Amino acid sequence: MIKDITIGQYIYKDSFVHKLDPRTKILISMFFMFGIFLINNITEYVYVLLLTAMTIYMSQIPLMKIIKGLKPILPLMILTVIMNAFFTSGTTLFSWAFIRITREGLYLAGFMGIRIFFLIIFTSLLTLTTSPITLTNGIEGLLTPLKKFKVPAHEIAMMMSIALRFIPTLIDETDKIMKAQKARGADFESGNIIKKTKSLVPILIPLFISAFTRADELAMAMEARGYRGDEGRTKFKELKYRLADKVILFLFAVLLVFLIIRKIAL
Amino acid sequence: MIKIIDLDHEYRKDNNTSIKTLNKVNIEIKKGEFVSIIGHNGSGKSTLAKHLNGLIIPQKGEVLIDDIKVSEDHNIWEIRRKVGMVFQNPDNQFVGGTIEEDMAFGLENIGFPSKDMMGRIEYAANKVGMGNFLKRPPHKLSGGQKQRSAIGSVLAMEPDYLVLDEPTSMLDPKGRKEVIEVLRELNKKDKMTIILITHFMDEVVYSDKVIVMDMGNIVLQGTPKEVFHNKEMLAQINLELPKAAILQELLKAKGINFKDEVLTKEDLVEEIWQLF
Repeated sequence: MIKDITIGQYIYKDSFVHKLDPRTKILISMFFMFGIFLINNITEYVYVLLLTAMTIYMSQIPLMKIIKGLKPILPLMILTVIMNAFFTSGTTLFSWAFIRITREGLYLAGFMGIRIFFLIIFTSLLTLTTSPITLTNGIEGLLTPLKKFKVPAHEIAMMMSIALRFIPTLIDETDKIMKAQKARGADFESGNIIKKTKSLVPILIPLFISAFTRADELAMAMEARGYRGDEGRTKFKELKYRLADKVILFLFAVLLVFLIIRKIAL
Repeated sequence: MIKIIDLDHEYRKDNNTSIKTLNKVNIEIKKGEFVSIIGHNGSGKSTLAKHLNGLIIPQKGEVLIDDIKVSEDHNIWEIRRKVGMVFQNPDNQFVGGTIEEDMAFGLENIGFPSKDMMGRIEYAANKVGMGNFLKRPPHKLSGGQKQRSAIGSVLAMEPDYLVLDEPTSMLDPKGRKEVIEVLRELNKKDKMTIILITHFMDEVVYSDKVIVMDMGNIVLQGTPKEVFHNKEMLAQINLELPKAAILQELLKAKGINFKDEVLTKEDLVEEIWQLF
């Protein structure tokens, strides 16, 4: 059962969105994040909805997958809405005992809910259309200019991709250790939460020990194959901005700049 | 040619005791040879292997790869390019998320041009019979397949020598057979120099030269026939004979006379059918 856990939620499709450079996708997701907080009227949210719907359509990702991805965030969304509704000051619409709901509160709550909704959808589109390893490449690509400021871009990306590579291996191992401990009478299911947490210790310790051994051996294998950081290194899959990337980045950037200027001007 | 001259190695257990793992070891390995090194755990065979591509720098003595000194720091990258290494645990040497990414890892390290990488990877993958699995992640491969792609990853870098440190000890019999077959073919077809470290006697019978190590010393050296003829010596250090040779010994004890001593199943069959 433990084996069924999938890493990331990448769905392979041969779509326009999938083919975009990962850096483009990361950047426009960030632009989107900023932009969405600069918008505060219903008409403009309709435009955002159209933009999001179009992106989903072009990505060929089934709508159900995206809705499913919203589920775990639902409690957070509801909490934010309630907090905003109750704790914003302004003209009172309704009050009972210590509860006071204001007109401003309702507006803010509504907008917050909509913003989080779009935020989750757009960022999950990023992970749905980009494989973890491509995403790592993209992050490395975006961080590379920061090398001048001693940001270890290559090392961060290498660490991330090794972590991704070893997740299935470690899940397999956890499964084996669990079975081995169960065979010796370990009980992981009964008892209260404290007892259950304590029963994880006999799994975690062997898992950690083996992870350290693996790290040691992997480091040696990497060295044996001539690894010496990013010095004199070439890339198997070089990232390249195509025309579509440039156009989309330009459009999003212009839109964001417009929104920022409008915000400042008002 | 690899030359190991008077190589010593000891490691500190604590402040007062140190353990000698290699003791005045001298070995010469010619290009194109298939050399096996056998011995028990702690015989020094793995330490020896790690000296061959500079993972351990000689404390005393010297290792020469095509006359390049391993002991000099600035040679290290050239040596790691010349001598490829495959390790015991197939999982812990898989760096990439898929076979092609793993094969690309070594190429990226040596600054191989990006546009030629795919060709090299396909070439190497086909050599080890993994050409159809390039996009597979490691956890969807059997142990033998993982180890074969580890060999492929090293081959992609076109090394002159291939050192394998107990590559089959964590595999099932099928995987073991696959790996040994790949090695034999590389040696025969591509004249690849292979240095195989193992404790399975059946794997060494096909090599040109066998080196037996015990307690950091080379105790026997020669062709498989010569080495396995030395039964008393092998018994002394608790090393078994290959399965076919054991069977032949048992048959001899039953009073059957053979013309020749055998090491492989094929040779034993050859001997037996002529008996009657």
